[in-house]
Amino acid sequence: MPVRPRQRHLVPTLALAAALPALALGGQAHASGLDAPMIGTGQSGPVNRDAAAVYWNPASLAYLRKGELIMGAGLIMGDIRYQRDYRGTYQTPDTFQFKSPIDPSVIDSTKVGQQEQVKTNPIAPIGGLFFAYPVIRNRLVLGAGAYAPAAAALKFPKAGPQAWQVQEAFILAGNITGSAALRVNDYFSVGAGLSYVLGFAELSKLQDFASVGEFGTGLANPPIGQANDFGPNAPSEVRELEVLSRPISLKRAFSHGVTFNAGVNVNPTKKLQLGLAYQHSSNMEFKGRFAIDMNDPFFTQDLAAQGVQFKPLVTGDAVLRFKLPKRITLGAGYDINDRWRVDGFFSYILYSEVKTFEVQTTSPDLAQPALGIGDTISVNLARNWRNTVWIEGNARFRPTDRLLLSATLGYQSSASPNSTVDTTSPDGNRLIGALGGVLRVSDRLALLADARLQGIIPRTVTDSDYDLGNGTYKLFIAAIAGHLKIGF
Amino acid sequence: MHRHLTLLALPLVLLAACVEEVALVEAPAATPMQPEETRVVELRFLRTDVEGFGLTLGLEEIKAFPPAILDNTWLLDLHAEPLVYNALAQLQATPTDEAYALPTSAHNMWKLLTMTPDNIVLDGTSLGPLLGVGKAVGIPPALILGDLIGVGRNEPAITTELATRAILDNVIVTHPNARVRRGPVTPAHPDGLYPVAPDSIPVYLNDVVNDFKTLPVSFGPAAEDPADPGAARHPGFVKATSGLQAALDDFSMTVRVDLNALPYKGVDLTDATIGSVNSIHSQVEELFDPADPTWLSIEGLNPDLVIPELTMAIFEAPTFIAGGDARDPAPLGNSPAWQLPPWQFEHLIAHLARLRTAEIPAQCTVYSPQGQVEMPLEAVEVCLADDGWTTITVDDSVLLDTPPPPPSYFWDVLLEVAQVRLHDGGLAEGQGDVELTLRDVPVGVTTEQMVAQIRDNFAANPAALIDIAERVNDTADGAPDFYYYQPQDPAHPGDWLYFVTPLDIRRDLQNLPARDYSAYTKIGFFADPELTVKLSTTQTIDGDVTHEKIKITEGDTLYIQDDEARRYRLVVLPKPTLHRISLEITRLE
Repeated sequence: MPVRPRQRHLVPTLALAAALPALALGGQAHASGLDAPMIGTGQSGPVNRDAAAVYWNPASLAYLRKGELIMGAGLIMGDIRYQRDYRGTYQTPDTFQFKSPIDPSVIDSTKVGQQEQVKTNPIAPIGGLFFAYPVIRNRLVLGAGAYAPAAAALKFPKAGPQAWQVQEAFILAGNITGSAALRVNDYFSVGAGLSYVLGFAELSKLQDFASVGEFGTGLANPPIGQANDFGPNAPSEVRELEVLSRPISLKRAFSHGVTFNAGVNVNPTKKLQLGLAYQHSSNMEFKGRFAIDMNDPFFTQDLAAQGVQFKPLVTGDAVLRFKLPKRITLGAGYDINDRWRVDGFFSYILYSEVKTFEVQTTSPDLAQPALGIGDTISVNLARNWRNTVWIEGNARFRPTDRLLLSATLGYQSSASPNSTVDTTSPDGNRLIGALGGVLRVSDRLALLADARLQGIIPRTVTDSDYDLGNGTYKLFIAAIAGHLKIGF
Repeated sequence: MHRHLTLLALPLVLLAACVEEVALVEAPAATPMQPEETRVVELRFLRTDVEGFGLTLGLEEIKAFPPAILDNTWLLDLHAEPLVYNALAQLQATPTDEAYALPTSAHNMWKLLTMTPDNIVLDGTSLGPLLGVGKAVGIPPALILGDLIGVGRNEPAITTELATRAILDNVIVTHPNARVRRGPVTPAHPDGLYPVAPDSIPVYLNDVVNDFKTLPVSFGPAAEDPADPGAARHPGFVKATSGLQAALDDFSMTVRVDLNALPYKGVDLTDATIGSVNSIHSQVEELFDPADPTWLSIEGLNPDLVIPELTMAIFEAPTFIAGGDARDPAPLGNSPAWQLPPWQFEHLIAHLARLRTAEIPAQCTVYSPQGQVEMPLEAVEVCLADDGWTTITVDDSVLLDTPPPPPSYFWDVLLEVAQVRLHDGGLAEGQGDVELTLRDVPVGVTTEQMVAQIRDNFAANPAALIDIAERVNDTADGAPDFYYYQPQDPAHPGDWLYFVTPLDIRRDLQNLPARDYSAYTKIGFFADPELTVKLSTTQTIDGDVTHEKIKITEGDTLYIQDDEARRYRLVVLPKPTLHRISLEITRLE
């Protein structure tokens, strides 16, 4: 008897969590891949037959002979550290020179080299609910799932050297999916699912106006007409100035999207299972409220005659748009004998689709007509992510009829290039390890426990664009989860 | 649907969401410092050094300026000679039939300008006996007068050029507003008054943007001279103007400046609040770059500077002013006309006649009777001496009903002739004020010349633009008693405190000082609480020579008095950052 379908897989959810602040705030923050976290149980996967196949590969649902419900909850805990390494040239924060080269006498001698390390230890809940039921025995299985592929909380020091990237963030992404799987025969099945994607984001950071193109253009145009280096490509010399670093927060931002997945499952022999799954991209559009503290005389008073006069607190609507990329996953599983099974998968994720994040803030209080700045500011943030691979292998051993143990090793490549990485996506090439266990309490009930660890090899970046993200990144994430599987 | 799903997610979101929303921290309300109370303030010095900072003003924006700015921003001294000449030439060229349609006073002025030896009326003047002489010897008086003046019998006795000169000298340049003009108050001009160029009238921004409707005000009746309240007041010479739209609807003036556009941050000691001092005034020396051809551009000036209607006036004395009859006091003689204010018609004519006399060479002309006589008879001899003394001598053999005209200066003769001429038609004495309403009078300068002159003037004295620049870049706020400055000059590095000057006082909507600077009885920074030992100086830093200033370093203790006569102690605390200082302020009393 083959080992029960199990699965594996967990993931750092922080990538998505970290990515959104970058979008929202129009800064130069960068993020890595939005890879999925632990979804389903540690025994789930693209060729494993359980209700979590709603996510992994809906074709695998077709081989479920009876109804199944999986309920689970868990925690993701992280330890993320960053030691910024200033490699660019900066003027002192209380200086105000618009264009490089700057006066050597105002170069900030303290903004050189490595700074104090900052860290955050986020804890975020995860959970999931999967259901599958064969409506036509041995032919058609319907499934449904509600799960959170992303959830994270970041809380860095407000005044840390990463503050222009992110200070705080809370991200939650949840999918509600309905699936159907058709068993063509014992060797081949197909399946597909349709998902509603609900996203939620909140975050805060220091918005560096030096990186806002509209601001630079406004200063360059009459009546002020001042040449400046401000904009997305601003050099470090004009960045992180005290006056232009304005606290901003995004609150209560929700996104509603739709996507689908599809897959096939092929069983060439009774011991070998192959699966191919496709997850379609999803357009995410977070709509929320932003607030930015403009309470500095420079913005509220000193240049009022020239048309620069903001309210001390500007609030309005914010929209963040980006695309969750397509991915294709090829999985394989082989039952060596009644006690041993090996399986794994290879995912190719088209993160290169993510070129930019579009950020749009709207408020009548943003408008500065004299500078040609309207009530809506849109910023396209270059991401330039790379396609990534994700490889995992699992070994599963059944010491008794009631107990199943599993071990996982995996690797994820980094989506963020050195040029764009920063603390919003403390990304790197990740090594993954996991342990899992299943205790079959009865024919209808099983308890599952999983622990998943992953970390990046400390990543030292020295060629970040505009010196935004140079430094050393460390990331370690632990996920623990417990599930209840009920058959009926 | 989306809303419902969102609501479903809310509980979890609210449970976990922990991102702090950006909100303003309410600053405590400013309260006056109490005796012995100490507060700490932090000041920053922020520079935004901009080059070619464009200040563009449209016509309506300029019109909306406070009157003080419009009235005091001098643009140029308009050379008045072409304007006066054009006006007189136009009057002189008026055809006879049209001249008779003019008001009497204007008509008589026309007659003066077109007066020839042939049409001079001598009746009623001291030259009247010349008529009898002519009759006795058969010589037309016009011949004698023509010879005397040096013109043909039908040529004008007074040229337009001379009349222009006389009006400029006596009527225009004697007007107080044509002698000095308003400008910025500077150490060299503490009263804000500057001499006007010769033969010119000053033109202010207000004149240009208000179609020169201001001329009758500027050059109408003069105000009382505070320095000499009893002195005669100039009655003015422009009664009305209309229609010259010098600044068209698209008029704009753009000034490009190189400056630190941000204000200086200072402290109002009364409540230890931070305020702003407009920085433009202290940058006047470096503010403009006249070498840059775009530093000042003026667009939209009327290319056809012609005054559609101009009414000029010259006022006469209430009584007939007799010409003199004595050579002394030299060189003018004893006519009462010379005692009159120069702008009065009689003095003007006397002056004009004297100018005319100066053009006539000394001469003696002998006239013999008409017809044949055996021995040539020198019946009449008319002589004009070098000093203008004129004598008419009649041979004793000529029988006259009245004695020949007594000797006098030639201008005395013309003065009487002109006065009589002015009152032709029955005008009573005192009612012969000359009033000329002229149309389409060219101003006499081209638009290009005017713009060039304005540019040159501002280049030579950029302070004249300060009020406008400050108005356009109005950054002043609060009532600081002193402010924080970091010099650009490397010879004076570090942090400095500057005590405010009158020019630092914020202006109100009328461009008047928002508070009285004279309330400061102790200006500067002192070493002792009694304010007897001043530490600050007015040493030159970055071109500034007016502010009391002092360099500060950590640990320094200074004493200062505010505009409410309260004394304070300032202690310089450790410096927070490169461009910040921290001060501990204690009110002493």
